[in-house]
Amino acid sequence: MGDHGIEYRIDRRSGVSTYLQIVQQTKQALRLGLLEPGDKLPTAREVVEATAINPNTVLKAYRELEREGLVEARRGLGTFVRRTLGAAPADSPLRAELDAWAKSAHAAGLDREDVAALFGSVLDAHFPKGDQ
Amino acid sequence: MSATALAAPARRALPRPRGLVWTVLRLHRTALWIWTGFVVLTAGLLLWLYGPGAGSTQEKLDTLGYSGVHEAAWSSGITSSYLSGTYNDLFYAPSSLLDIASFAVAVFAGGALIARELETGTAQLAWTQSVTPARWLAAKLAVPALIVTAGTSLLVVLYELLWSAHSNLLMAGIGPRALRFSLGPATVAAPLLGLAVGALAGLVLRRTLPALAVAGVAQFLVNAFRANSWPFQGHYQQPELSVRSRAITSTGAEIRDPGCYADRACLDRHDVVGFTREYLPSPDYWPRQLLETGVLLAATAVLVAVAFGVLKRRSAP
Amino acid sequence: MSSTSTTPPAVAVEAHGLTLRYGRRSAAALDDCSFRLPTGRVSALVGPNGAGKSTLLATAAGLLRPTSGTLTVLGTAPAEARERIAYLSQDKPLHPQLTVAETLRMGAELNPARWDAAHAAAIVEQGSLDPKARVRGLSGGQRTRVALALALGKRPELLLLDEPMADLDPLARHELLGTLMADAAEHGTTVLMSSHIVAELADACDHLLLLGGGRIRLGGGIDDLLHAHSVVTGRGTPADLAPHTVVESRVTGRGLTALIRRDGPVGAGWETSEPSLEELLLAHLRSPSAPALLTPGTTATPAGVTA
Repeated sequence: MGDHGIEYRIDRRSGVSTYLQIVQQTKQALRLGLLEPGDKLPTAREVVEATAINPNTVLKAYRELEREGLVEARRGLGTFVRRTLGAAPADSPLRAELDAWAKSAHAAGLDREDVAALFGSVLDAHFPKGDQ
Repeated sequence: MSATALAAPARRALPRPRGLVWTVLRLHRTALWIWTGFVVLTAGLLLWLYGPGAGSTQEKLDTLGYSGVHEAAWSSGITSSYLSGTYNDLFYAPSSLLDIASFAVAVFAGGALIARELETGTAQLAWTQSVTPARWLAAKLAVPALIVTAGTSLLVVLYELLWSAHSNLLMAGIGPRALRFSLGPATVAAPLLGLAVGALAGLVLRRTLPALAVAGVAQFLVNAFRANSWPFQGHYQQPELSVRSRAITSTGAEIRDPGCYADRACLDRHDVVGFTREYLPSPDYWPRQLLETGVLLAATAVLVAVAFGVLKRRSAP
Repeated sequence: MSSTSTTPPAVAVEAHGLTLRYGRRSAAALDDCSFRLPTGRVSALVGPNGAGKSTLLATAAGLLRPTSGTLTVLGTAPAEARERIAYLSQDKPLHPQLTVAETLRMGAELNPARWDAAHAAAIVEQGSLDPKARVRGLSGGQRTRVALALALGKRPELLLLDEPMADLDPLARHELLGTLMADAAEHGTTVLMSSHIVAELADACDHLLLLGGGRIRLGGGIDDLLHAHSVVTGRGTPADLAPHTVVESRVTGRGLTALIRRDGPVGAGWETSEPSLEELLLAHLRSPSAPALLTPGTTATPAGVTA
């Protein structure tokens, strides 16, 4: 099925769980316009034959994408893209706020690692990891 | 299912073998070729003895009587090895080959047929296809049994023809007696016992070399026991085999052999123009032959039953 | 995949008190094992050498008779399920005198009701094997491919593989695992495959059975098993970690690092993270006295009770 192909590449040493890699790569393909609404995702069989991962991992990733409203499963036909993903515009107000925050952090003498750790902990507090 | 293929393996006008029968035939193709070669060569030897091989000795018998037979037998010297080539010696060669064949069947059954498959795990490979171990063993025994029986039966029939045509060319003594009493249904039954002996050794020992050796020794003992112990056809215990030997005069009358040897004048004096000679049928032949066949087949049946029992204990229910 | 949530998952393999000794006096190769493997899972059977993996697989294939206890496969005795199981033993026995094509023909002859010749041939072709080549002349990896083609050509409902990937190069390993996974995806084949190299199977499997010393130490979905455990680091002693089950603990400087099976939330002051699969397995193997864990779906049900 190479017509609107997305080919998943599983990096076993990335530390990111396999199903999440599929979710992220699908989203990336949506952002880049490689996948458009109506496109068919490869079947679980096609994915696992190429990547040698467990079929349930693929199904779990597809379920996650479906839960987020990005794709829909049509019984007996396959899984299809419903909508595309736009990247956050570079000139959005959120970006300006973050930009200002980074400037003040720099002024306060924080170095790159400190900022990353701080941002990470705030990120974790507001966006818990995992599904639960 | 291939249960039908197993039930009717080779009878009908050679349907293409299927299932286990195909598998057994293909796996033991080399052995099948060796066996076919043996049967063809031995049959060829028997036919030669029946036809062209008998010519010169027959001529000696016709002209000189038993002394001619004697002369023909001893003409190539006193060595009486099978390879010396005299008709009298070659007459016994197929019998020895049949003995060796029953030994070879036992060795084959112990080694290549059963034990090697258990040792290398290919038997277990078959058992994890849609084939039960019992059906596997049944095919492993039935297919070779049929082929071996067909081959030995053909050879025994040819041998019987040869005997009735030319046994009169054999020197009297233990030889013809032993041959006559050992040739018959028991000759066909002996390799079947060898097959059972080998299969059981293979199933019990499960390793090729030990099984092959034990099967060979066991079948050798069977052959030795048959040759020396009543009720079997002990070479030195057979009843006498009577010979009827007559000279024929120019009037067609049959008289006693005058004992002229190669003395032409003596033969002319007695007005002898030909000779006739034959081994007379023995009333002991069939009782002994059938008894021996029965004992061999019964032993075969017991060993086969034990083999299935061993297999059942070894494999899961 | 096709099973709805209202029906309980069917059981592919179920053991009750399964014990197997090779001799009357010898130690048990399998010692009182009870577990169930639901259908449709791809399960890794892991454990150190001599843990009983091969024994368990051969018993499930109907080649060994349990000393005591029971083992049912696809709802019946292993010997009754012969047609629906495929088994690949560790040494991949094949007939050396046959060609590749003849080996597959044998598969067709011995599995008349189920054989899928095209599927078997495709697996062989994928490895660009000459069908006329004799098995005798094949490399270890090529033989494994032929053996696997023989196993998959049978279209089994349960596939039992003993160290299937042991002598394959990385490419062949990837291709054959892919083939296996495609089979599982398409037909819902249940797979139980052993390995002593966990990483080899971690991505391909969604289920795990850990054997140690003939006993089941862990059983369940890999995610469930990982979620049930935590690696905790902090100041304190193992006793401070009650009521959690401490599988393994190590003193590190002033603190303590432990792999625990959680019972409720972990108290403050402990930094927690989810263990990797390898950490989880090694911790259990190093601590034989840690209690076994079978997740609810993999616990053997008492006879007569369903769901």
